[in-house]
Amino acid sequence: MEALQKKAQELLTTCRANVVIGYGQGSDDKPRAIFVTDPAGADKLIFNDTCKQNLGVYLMKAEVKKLGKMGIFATKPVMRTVVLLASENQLTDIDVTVIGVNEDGSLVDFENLQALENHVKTITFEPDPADKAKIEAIEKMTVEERWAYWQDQLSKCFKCYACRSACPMCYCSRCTVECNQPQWIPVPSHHLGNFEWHMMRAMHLVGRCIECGECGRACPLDLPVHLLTQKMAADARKDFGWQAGMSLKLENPLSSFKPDDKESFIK
Amino acid sequence: MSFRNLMDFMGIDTRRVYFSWVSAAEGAKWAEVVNNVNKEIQKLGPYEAYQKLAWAGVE
Amino acid sequence: MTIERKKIKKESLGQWFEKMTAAGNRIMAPKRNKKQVCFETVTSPAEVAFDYVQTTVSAKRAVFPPVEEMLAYKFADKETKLEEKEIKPQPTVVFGIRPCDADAFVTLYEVFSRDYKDDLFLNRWEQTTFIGISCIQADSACFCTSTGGNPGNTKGSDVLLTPLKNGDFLVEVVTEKGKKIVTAAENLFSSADSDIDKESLLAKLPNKFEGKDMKAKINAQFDNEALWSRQSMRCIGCGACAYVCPTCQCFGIEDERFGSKGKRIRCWDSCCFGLFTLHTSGHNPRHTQWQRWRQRLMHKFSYEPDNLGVPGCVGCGRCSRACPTDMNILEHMLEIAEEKA
Repeated sequence: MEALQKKAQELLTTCRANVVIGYGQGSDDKPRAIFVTDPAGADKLIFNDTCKQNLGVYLMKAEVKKLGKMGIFATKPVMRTVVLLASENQLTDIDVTVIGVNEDGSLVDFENLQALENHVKTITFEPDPADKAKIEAIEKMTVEERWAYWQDQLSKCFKCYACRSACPMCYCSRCTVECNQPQWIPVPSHHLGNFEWHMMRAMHLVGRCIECGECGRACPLDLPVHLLTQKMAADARKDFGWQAGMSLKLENPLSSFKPDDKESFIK
Repeated sequence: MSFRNLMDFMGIDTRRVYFSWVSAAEGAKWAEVVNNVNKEIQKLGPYEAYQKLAWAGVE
Repeated sequence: MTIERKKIKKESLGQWFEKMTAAGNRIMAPKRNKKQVCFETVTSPAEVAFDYVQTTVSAKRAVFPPVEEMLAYKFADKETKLEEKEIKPQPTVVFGIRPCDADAFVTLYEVFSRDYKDDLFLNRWEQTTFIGISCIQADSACFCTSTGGNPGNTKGSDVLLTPLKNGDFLVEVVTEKGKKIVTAAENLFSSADSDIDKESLLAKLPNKFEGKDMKAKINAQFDNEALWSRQSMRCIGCGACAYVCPTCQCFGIEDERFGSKGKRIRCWDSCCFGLFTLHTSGHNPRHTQWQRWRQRLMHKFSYEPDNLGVPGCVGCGRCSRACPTDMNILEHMLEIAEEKA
């Protein structure tokens, strides 16, 4: 932890960052996101295995960006988040300095985004095995069982949009649901509105989800909404050989065309 | 493809979903596609499960 | 009405539920679902959770549903016909709310009846009986004693039960509505032992801040952008806090149509959403999260007490527990209480 705090002070005093985004002590032994702008405040930074929130979401928050150049302590999912956001032209070297944090707490200082990409390409990323098992269990169900399962789960949703707000990739200043000419997705949280919202959210994350699970963690009702986006991520790997957040080049299968893309679904 | 997979994963009957490339210049093909889809859907009958969703959950 | 004390045995709850159901009531009560406890329709006390501090979501949906039909219409012969069907809410017993929740229902009542009489709300209200259960335990997110309440407060409950050490319940009949629902099952209730010390059974929750001082304190901080920014930097602008809250009441209105039939629907909304105050002109008076956070707290601790004479926050702690980014409202209010004017 001392190394973390020292590194934050270094970033701030050498102007590699005007604000350092990391974890601090929250309520009841939970961590929470903190924003250190003064080197004297760096001693509030902590890191342990309960630090799971994807801090990458703050890199797209206007109020944080206003503070200046952002430094961020990045766990593996956050590293992929930064690479993905950079590939979508949302972040450049001018905006962010990334300090990687390994599981054991050791740090990796990235000189620039290219160095980050080089590092990310060496990591094997495994989705959470419990989530993978749940997805496989749902895949084994019959169509009717899957319908019943998702109707049961999603009917409880009350459209708080915590899933959307917690995801770093959902950075649209005006979401599709906030367009009412036409109203593509119904606003009320009735069964149809919930179903279409979650379907649409999953589609907007195809090839972009880095499987951090933050949407599922953020949901106040514990709905397994992360399974939808993670299923799409697994499919992108299987059908297109694509994994989000590994390359600074925008080659998302839904944003690019390759002649050998399968068209087996088109008659 | 991803959309079809998602619909299937969420329990939608994908036998009722068709994707086809038809140019505006392919009038005959269009007629064939529409008639074919129509025939297949009629065999499956109304999609009651989805129809039930309309306004379900409104108090 | 003076509060009458009675007693009911735990084993008799089942028969009381049966009588209430037989009288046509739907019963909403806390039900455990894996890690969470939420209000759902039940028929038997066997389904009801008793050993928990607080539910994840409040019970306000009993009188203020998340999705509610306002009117229906259809197109026929080039005309739009309004369907004037009277929506008759089913009589409902909300069983097992905490005293903070009961307090919150009073606040909601004031909001929906102060000047404009909201029939949608009031029709449901009239058909609803509130049976509360006092708190014998609290956690670090609770602060009802700082907002003018307490773990055994009868305000807002028609009947208030307090768990006794042997598993039975002290029954306080608070209102005429409460009297009705108790009298309908008279034989299940006995007179309360005169030596029941209710105070000693309740959770001990020391006052964290002085509730009546908070309005002045928070008003003094209105222009303190640094404070609001500091507090809201980690907020991601979702609606979780507003939707789990027992007093939040913002709603939007949507028109929806399928073919020739349509409905006008009201649904929950949250002042914390980024576009909540977006004008048609494109101007957004609350375009930053700190302005929205300030609004949330001012509304609860200043505007509602001022305009309605009731608390806008009852200290139930649900927002703090549900928040994905740990925006602990109690912590924030304590900071405001300490901040120099």
